[in-house]
Amino acid sequence: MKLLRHFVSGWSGLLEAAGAIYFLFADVVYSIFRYRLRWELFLEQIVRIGMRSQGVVLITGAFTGAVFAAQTQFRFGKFGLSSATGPVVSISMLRELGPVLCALMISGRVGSAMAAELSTMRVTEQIDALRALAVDPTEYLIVPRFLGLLVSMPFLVALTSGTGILLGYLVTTLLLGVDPTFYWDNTVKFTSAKDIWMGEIKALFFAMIIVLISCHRGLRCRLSAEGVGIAATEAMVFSSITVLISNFFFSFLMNLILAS
Amino acid sequence: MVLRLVEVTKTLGTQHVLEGVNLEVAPRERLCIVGRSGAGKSVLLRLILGLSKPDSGEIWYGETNLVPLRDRELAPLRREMGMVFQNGALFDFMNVEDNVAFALRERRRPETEIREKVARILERLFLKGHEKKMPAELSGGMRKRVALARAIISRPKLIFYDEPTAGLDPIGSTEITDLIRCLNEEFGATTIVVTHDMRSVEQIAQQVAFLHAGRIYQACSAEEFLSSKDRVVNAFVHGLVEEATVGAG
Repeated sequence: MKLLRHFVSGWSGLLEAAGAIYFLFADVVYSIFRYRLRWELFLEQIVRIGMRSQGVVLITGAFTGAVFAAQTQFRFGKFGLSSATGPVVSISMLRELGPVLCALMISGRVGSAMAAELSTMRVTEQIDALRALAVDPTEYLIVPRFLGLLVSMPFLVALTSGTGILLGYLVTTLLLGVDPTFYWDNTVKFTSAKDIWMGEIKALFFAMIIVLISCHRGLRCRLSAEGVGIAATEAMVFSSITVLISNFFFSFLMNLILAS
Repeated sequence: MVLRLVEVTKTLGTQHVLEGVNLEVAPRERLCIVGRSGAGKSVLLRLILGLSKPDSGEIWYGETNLVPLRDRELAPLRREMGMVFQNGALFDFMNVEDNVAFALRERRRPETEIREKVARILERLFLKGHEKKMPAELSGGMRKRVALARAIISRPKLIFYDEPTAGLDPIGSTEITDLIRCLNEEFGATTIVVTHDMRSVEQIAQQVAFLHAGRIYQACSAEEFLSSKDRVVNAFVHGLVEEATVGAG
């Protein structure tokens, strides 16, 4: 009975959160069209989210690409399939690893910071102060973050995938002795624009997932110092899990759409 | 009446905080809402400002009932109001100057006018020379004064103060209460102060509303309140623990 109660309350909590995130999204879309964009805040978010995350995603992409290329070449090389290493690395990086790993790093670095910032503002009544001063918190706080990540994420994903492919190329050719022209020719031959599009479209969806979940956790935190910590952790965990699960469905859906 | 509350109720969790509050506030009046900690004074203020919704009842600001209005519909009315939060609620990512100028910038006033008004108000509130400081660098009293400057710079018709003297030393407390009284006389804005500090009541209030057991137990002039013979009021005013407990029960 206790187990059933836990199960029911867990699901009802999940549904409630999903509903609240949907309404937050609707509110953000409404605010984007209803109010003038605050360029200063938007550009500040581009710097904080986009520019300052470059180092993290660069390292993530580079070493994932490097190790993935090495492992692929170790196995494929044994069966004389070195020609497939380049395409496998580039397609994997562009379609899956680049977007997902970048989104995971961004949810850790940016999502948790967003949630912590908003929840601190909530605890210290700064959000109430905004409302008391007749300023819509969604328009002032959420829209710049939403658009900031939406604009930054495709570039960050491109950076992750690009450095992954580049370092994969260097490892395979310089350390594992695969012919550079042969590797690159095959990579270009079997990689299409569709692969790039798939990654970039995913980047936009993941950006929305990360911002909405993180802002939702920040705005709904408990009014205590512990609440701020919990909000930051939950933002990171929930957005990462949602990215991983939704990636599965995106991949299937986009394969169906882009295959035609 | 500038503000009228009719049978306002509010429950937080399982606790019935307000159980039918009726209150009227006249224009330009200085009203202190008093009561013990946890009586629901701050909740009442939040309900009036529309920061949370009552479970039932009506809150009339002039001819408008605020209760059914959504946040965006409340915005034009909030521009006529100012609020000084208990801990200041200053925007911690802005310096003093930007905090104070915030309301005017939101109203898209010309930058020269904003600078002039901010400089004038900071001087008036003894904050000159602190313009570039961040909120974290300010003392408690200074934070309250910055919050006060931010609330009054746009000349609201109605100003709310939530525990304006809480956490201040006696001198800082007197400075703030003097300012509240002076600003009310200078700007003519209706002033509502939530407090449990009897010295503040003596210094500020023209009218007092005593919130007790979820209702306005007594609403009268400050003199009547301070000299009341009622057991519950008397216990609150003079801090008589036993009597207050009996009254609360």
